[in-house]
Amino acid sequence: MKLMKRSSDVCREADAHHAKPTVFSGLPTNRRNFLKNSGIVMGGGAIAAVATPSMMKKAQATAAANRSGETTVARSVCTHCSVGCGIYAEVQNGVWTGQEPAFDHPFNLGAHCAKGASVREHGHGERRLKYPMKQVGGKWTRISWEQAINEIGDQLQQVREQSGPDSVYWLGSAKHNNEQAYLFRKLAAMWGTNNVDHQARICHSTTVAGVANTWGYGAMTNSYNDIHNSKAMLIIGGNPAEAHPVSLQHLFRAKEAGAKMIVIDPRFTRTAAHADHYVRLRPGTDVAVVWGMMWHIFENGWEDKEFISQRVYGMDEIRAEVAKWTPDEVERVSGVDEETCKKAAQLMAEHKPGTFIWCMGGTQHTTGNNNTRAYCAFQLALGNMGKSGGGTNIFRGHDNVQGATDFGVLSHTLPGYYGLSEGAWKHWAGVWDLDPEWIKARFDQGSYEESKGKPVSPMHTKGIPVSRWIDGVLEEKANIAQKDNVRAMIFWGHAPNSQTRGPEMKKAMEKLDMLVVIDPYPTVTAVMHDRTDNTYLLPAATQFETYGSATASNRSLQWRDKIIDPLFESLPDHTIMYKLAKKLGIADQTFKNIQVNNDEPLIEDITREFNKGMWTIGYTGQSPERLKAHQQNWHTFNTTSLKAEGGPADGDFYGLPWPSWGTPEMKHPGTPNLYDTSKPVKEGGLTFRARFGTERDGVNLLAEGSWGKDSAIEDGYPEFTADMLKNLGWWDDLTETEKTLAEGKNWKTDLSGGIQRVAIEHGCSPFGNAKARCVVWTFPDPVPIHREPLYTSRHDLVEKYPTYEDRKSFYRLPTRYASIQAKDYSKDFPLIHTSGRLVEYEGGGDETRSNPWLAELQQNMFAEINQADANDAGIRDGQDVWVEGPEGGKMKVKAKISPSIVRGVVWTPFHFGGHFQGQDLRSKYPEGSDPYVLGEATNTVFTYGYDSVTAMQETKCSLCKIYPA
Amino acid sequence: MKPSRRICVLAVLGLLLAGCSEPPTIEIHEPGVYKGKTDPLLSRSGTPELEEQLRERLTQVQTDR
Amino acid sequence: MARMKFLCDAERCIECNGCVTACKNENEVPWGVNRRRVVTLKDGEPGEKSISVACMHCTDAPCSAVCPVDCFYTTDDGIVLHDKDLCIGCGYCFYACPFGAPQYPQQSAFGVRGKMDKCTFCAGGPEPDNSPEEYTKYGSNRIAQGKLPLCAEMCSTKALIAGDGDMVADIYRERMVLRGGRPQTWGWEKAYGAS
Repeated sequence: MKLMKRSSDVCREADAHHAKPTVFSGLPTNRRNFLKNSGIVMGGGAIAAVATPSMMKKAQATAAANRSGETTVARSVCTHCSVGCGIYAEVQNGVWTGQEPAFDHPFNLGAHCAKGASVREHGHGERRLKYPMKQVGGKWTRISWEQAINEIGDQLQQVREQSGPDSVYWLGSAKHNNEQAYLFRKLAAMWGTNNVDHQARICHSTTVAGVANTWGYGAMTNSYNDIHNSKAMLIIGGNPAEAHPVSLQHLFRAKEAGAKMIVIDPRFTRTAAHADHYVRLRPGTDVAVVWGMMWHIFENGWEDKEFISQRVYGMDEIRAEVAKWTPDEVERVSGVDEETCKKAAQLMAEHKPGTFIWCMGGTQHTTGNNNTRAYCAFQLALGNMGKSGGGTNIFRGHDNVQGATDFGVLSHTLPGYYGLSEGAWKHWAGVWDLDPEWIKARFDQGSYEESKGKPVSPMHTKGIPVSRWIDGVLEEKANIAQKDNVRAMIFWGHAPNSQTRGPEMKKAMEKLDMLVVIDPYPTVTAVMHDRTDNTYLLPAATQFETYGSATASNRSLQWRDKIIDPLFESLPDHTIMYKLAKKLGIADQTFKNIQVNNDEPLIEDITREFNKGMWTIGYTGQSPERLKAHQQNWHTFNTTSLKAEGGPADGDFYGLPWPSWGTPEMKHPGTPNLYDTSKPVKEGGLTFRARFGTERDGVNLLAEGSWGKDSAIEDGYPEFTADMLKNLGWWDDLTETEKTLAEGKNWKTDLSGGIQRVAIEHGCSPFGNAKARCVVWTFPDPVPIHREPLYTSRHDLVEKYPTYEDRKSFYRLPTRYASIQAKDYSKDFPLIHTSGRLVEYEGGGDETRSNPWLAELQQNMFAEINQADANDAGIRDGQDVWVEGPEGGKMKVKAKISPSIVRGVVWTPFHFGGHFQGQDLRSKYPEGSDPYVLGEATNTVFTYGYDSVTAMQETKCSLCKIYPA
Repeated sequence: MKPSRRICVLAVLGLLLAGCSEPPTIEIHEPGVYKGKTDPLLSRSGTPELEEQLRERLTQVQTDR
Repeated sequence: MARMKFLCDAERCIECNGCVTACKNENEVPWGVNRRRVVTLKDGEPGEKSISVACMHCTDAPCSAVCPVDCFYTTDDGIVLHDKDLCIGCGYCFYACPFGAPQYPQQSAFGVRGKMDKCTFCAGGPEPDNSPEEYTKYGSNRIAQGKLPLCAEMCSTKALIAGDGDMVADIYRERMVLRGGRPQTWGWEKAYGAS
């Protein structure tokens, strides 16, 4: 008796390849009612229609038949979020037959959430894109890899000849491993464009910009494990219980030891359910609430005055802004009353060290960079920075979004945040061993922007960000600061439904000359448009089918083994990159110092190449050999400090969290907590970075009376250069070889690593010792201020808290602010619309909705609506409703009436796709590769709005109306 | 209603009521002895060796090293 | 002698469904059959609690008591298992079970229910241990390999604990001491008596 449905005949008739949408008959009175009902709904033929029995038979047969024979065990890391949970994969006869918990892994100690506990399903991959395909007359046709690469390559060259290199858009991925991410950015450079970007733009770009501009680096400062040491944990705009479930293991450890947990969120989330104190705010009022808390801190003298005087610049200007946020004004703007606000501030002030955690709820706003800087100012005021148990623990999203960001799969920088200046290009040309003139010649030689009255070439101007690629296609050519519109898109591991303005995106896709998807799944990109030709789908391998390193949220690099060979005809990303480069005639330059075997570039050679260039953020010490040693010795690392106690990696921190300074031979242990002066730099200590000069308007920007342990300079100091070593009399500490390479260079550009080595020998941070700055004078709002959202529910507040003026050219494109906010939409669209995550799915969800073990748990796209709003609109629980946004996009979803959301707000998850404004697109997927669960994408409804520094999209605060369908 | 039909209804009613007065025959279910195949695991379950192994495993699951 | 038990620490359960997919993964349980599921009370309100529920492998299991074909047996360490070859899918055990654990692959109104399926504490069934027959009918047999149920081994917050009841109680007691709060051992008394 097998665990199988017997209604196979019914379903085979109804559905040989395409799974039918399930009919939902139950009423979702509870967030999990979909599951409860599934057993019933799935009863008759419906279950079989979703997961065909033939598929189950096959999966069972493989698992059962292969559970004998020799077992090999591979060590990998889950690909579903940035926690970086370790995995033991058991392989028999080349089939992934078992998944065992990695109890000895320092991050997860064997634990997994729904996604992590189901990764073995990747080994089945029933719904994968199986071979290269091409759309011919509206039909998907199988083609060979050779044909695909040839045709795509020829068309890319054609676009290049007609419109220049900037008309091809290279959209990369946080799903690349580090080596692939680095290679991808390099490939875009070799092609000659900065039109390259990835998901970080739409998840934490405002964090990276805000945080890096405050104290030097744009990353989580401590680690999930270090939260064990926290006495208070404030989570704002984050729902880690669903987005990073394993992190809760670490939060609970602190909580059970007495730490206070505060959750600030418009929605009573699963995380809020475990909080000691919950604060509900109106979406988009983070600055008001944070300043409101700081009002109480200053009012009661709870700030850390010594820390501020030694290590912080500009707190007085913050104080002046905060003074405006009296308890009354905070309540008027955000809805948070005095008592609730004060309690949050007091809990943080009285329980130190405290950590400050934020996610997308804080970043995805037109004022995202203001939010992130306000959070930083809060932690600086309390003196929580550079301390174990403190810090800004920014939980990143994808498993390697930190790495892909660090490697500059971004339109505004080269790898390592070197930027796009002439010096940056020169540095990387040196690392790549290429003539800078050759690279320059690859770019468009025209000029479309000016800087300080002088024309700048596209090589040195920021490219179009992923959030705006549709405008790169649709905007009038004359309004774009490049030669021509974007004409060809390469979607390499990216879900289009994670981006706003769905109806316009559909138009943009249809206008493109060529659309290429490179992904393990067809993704929504394959179906949301009505193109008939010139769309290509190329099957990419997952990270379980290749190997290399990935950077977790805490900056640790983890090495993955390959578990199984690529399924079907899929190929690893770096192999596809090589094939494309070869076709485009740039392989010799791109792979000059990288060994290539049968079209597959050697991963270790790529790691070694980036080790030679990533001095800024210390990706230089993490050689493949050191990373592999860490991977083989998970059990030797302490689960709180992450430090190896004995064993081959003795003294190292797990994964050599960057910066791991100098060369691998220097054996720097990595930096577990950034800016921690209680440790010497060579043991992982650090000061704040001297990134913004040494003085401003006569005020010293360097640290005063604070320095790292064992520092030879007992005061603030600027960043290290060759000249500075000479002045200090340390030049002769360099070897002769180092001297040759270091001459005229600084800590970022000295390819010998000598300057870093000598600075650290003397207990100094290579990047200097400065104050963190609360005022970023280069940003539109130097002091973070509150500004109402573009589509605000409180138009009465616009006069006092207006948005920005429209801009003519921002990341090459005209960008609207005030002209949208000018109109009051709140009468016709009376509800605030916000979005978030579900634990079962990740990102756009193409991968996870194709995994039956996960898909079964969430079968319907829904909208959480408060009972009162539902009654007002005449809507019952479980009913089909339309959610419509002010730009005309609408979606048909299930109503879920829930007390988790307050009256006036609608919450929707963003992982669904495959339905478009009421239309089911299942028949448009290539045969057999449609995800089990489809649904409306919330971003079909989400509207215009971009952060003023990074062009991050606004997905957390718009307006909508709901009505019965 | 015609008299003949009234009689009919009464007769049916009578029959139905007669059914109600029948003595109930409730069968009490006695749990029996397992009648299935022997699980080879039973020869090992509860042995000190397996118990020790399982205890060690739980320590591993819950340990923080 | 050891007595295998499950315990779900409601203070820690975050309803991430890791236990549910771990079970699917380990036993290849098909769509529509859920040996384990997570139940949330007071969903979306202060006081919200989630609990992961499956067969609790009760002492004097009610399912076993009502089975008309006597297909249930209990191992020496208290794991309640059944023989699917005997099961007639009558559904009595489902009505007897206080936890709603028994599942039936067939649930149409008038059809045959199919053989009952439930959590085996990852201990397979009455077939040679870890044979293909046992795996297809009952799923994995981790106990025979000296391992514990994968749901508990993989629990994201270590809320779900499985193993020797005495040790499980000790682990929980330690947490209680640390927290100094009321116990949240949902379902324990019902499954294992007052002790």
